[in-house]
Amino acid sequence: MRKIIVIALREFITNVRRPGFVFVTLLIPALGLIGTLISAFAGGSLARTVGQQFTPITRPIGYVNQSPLRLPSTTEFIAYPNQDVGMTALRGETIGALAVIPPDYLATGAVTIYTAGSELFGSEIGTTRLREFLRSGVLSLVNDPQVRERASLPVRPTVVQVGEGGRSTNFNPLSFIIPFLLSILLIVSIFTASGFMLQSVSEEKETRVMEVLLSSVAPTQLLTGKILGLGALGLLQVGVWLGGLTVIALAGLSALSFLTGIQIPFSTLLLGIVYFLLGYLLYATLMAVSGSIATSLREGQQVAAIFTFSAVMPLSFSSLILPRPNGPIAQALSLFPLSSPMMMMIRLAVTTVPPLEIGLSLALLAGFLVFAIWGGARVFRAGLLMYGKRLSVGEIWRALRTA
Amino acid sequence: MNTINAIEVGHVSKHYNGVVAVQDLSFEVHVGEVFGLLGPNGAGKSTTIRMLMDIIKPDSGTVHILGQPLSDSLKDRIGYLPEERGLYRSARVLETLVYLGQLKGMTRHDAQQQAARWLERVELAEWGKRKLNELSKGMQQKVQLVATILHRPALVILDEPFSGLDPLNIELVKDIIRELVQAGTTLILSTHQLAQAEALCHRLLLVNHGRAVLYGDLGSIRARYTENAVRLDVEGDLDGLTGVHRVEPNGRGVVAYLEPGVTPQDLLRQLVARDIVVHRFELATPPLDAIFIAAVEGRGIEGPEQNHA
Repeated sequence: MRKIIVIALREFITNVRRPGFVFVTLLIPALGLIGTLISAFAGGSLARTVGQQFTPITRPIGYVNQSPLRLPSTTEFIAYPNQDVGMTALRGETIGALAVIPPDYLATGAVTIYTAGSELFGSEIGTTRLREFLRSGVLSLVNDPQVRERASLPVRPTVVQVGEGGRSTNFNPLSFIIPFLLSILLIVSIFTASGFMLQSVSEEKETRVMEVLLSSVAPTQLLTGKILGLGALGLLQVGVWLGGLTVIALAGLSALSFLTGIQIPFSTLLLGIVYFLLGYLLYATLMAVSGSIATSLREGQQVAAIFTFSAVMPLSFSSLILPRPNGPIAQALSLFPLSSPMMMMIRLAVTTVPPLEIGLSLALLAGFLVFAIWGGARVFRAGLLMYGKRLSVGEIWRALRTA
Repeated sequence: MNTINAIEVGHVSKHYNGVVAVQDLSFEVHVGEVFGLLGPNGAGKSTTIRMLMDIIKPDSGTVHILGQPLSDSLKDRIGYLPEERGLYRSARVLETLVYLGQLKGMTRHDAQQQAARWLERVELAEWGKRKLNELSKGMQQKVQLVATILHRPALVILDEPFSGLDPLNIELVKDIIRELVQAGTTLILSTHQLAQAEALCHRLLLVNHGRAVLYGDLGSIRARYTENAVRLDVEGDLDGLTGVHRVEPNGRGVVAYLEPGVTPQDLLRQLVARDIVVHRFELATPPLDAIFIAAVEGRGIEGPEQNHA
């Protein structure tokens, strides 16, 4: 046991110092921080530009009404008798924009809008405000209050999503996107950690240090130590990501403030962690085996590509899967052990998965994992000392059969 | 005294894809001796050693190390220098040694102290903080030797320890081997350089094509392959000596072949009686290389200790 810890510690310390790991680990919080800093720099013109994309123009909009509409003059919408007076007000920055509504407006809908250069009136928000204002003006020509009401608010939505199990959930786009992104992060972490496994085994095999190691420890001890050490590395990475993003969000900094208030059900979170751990175990084992079969890192990556391809299937088919997260493709990929951790992490994030399916998927995954570790240790042992020659399929089969 | 043997190998065989690597090999290594595992390249030496280290499982046969089947705790008492050398290229020398020492059950502190001590012994003290790939090949070899003996093993297995070393470093390694033997370490020396083995080994096993060709005490093997002959360098006439059936010139002197039953002692007595000046008088023992070739070509006989029960 002490030797396993020694191996785990070495793997952790060696890999945590790799530039690639540091870069990927710090990249995610750094991106969040950069976004935050940009919006926090109130003085910067870039910040103002970005900020105005999200906040309505605070200055009132002026208008010159030449149509038969009856429009009120409010603090937000100031009426001007003619275009010249309005233009003076625009230049004097009393108003952010001047809209000229021509006499034939009802027939054509044509409106000319003058803005000062710095005001992004053309943006969605600016035109929306004017559109609302004019719609109420048009509706004031209608007598029936119900028609007026419906015209201004044609839909009062209550979106109920009907899942396969007949259960329904209220739909909130943010509660969909955030867990989805978290799942992607977990998947990236699995690939990072298991990628290091491939690198580590390949290096020890290529440099022949493997034989020295095997004269001190059993192959299973070596495998266990590596899995623990690199697993801790993966957890550290996820921790840094989640911790960093949470700190930024909790600091109330505007760019990521939408993250607060998103709640992921505890059971979903727990299942996500279970799939993360099982997925990591499976992929770390498969990568170790790939590294032991091959004679070099490059060859190892070729062998590992078979497994990596299965793992990224849920991501590459996402355009098919996301509209129907409980559809047949998603179901199939959730049962297939090589893709199920990734597929399930995504599905858990975006939909409610029937418990029976989760149970079946977990059972298949766990069963395959036991087989992978059992067989992997054998192939690992057989492959570790094959130099200059890749283990053939026949040799792998023999290794699996012999104790 | 009936001591436990350091190693007991019984009828071990190993095949790779139907090709014989080792066939029915049996031998013992006594505690405290230098045992030579000899033979040409590809004879099965490394496979045999890997089976001793439990890196490869034999197809059949038994291996006992220090009286028991190899276990993890036993691995801590063995030091193994593989033929295929290699350490972490981009790791620092001292760090690597400490890691490998810890894998042999040493504490971190002990491993650090021993590593520093041994680096000094092999004249690499100032290289501990450097990365391995900054060292020359010979230096890397010495670092690997240190990694092998760092944890004070009771049994040391060295596979081709002299390959790639210059003469000065070969002497250094030989000195270290002698020091280890003096300290009571059992040593297995595997090499195809028979002359090196001859100078160090007490007992030996010669393998060829995975089979034992010669096995036993170096002295008795020599004796067995020594024809009843004496190498002589003398001043005087050798004609008419009794018990000598043939005299052949050999280098500066001659070789006198004795008749069966006649001992070198008998010859010496006659020389003294004739008042012949003797510069050299020695049994015509062949070098190990010659014995090996003779044995492989079937001119020799199998060792008496080989058990075919």
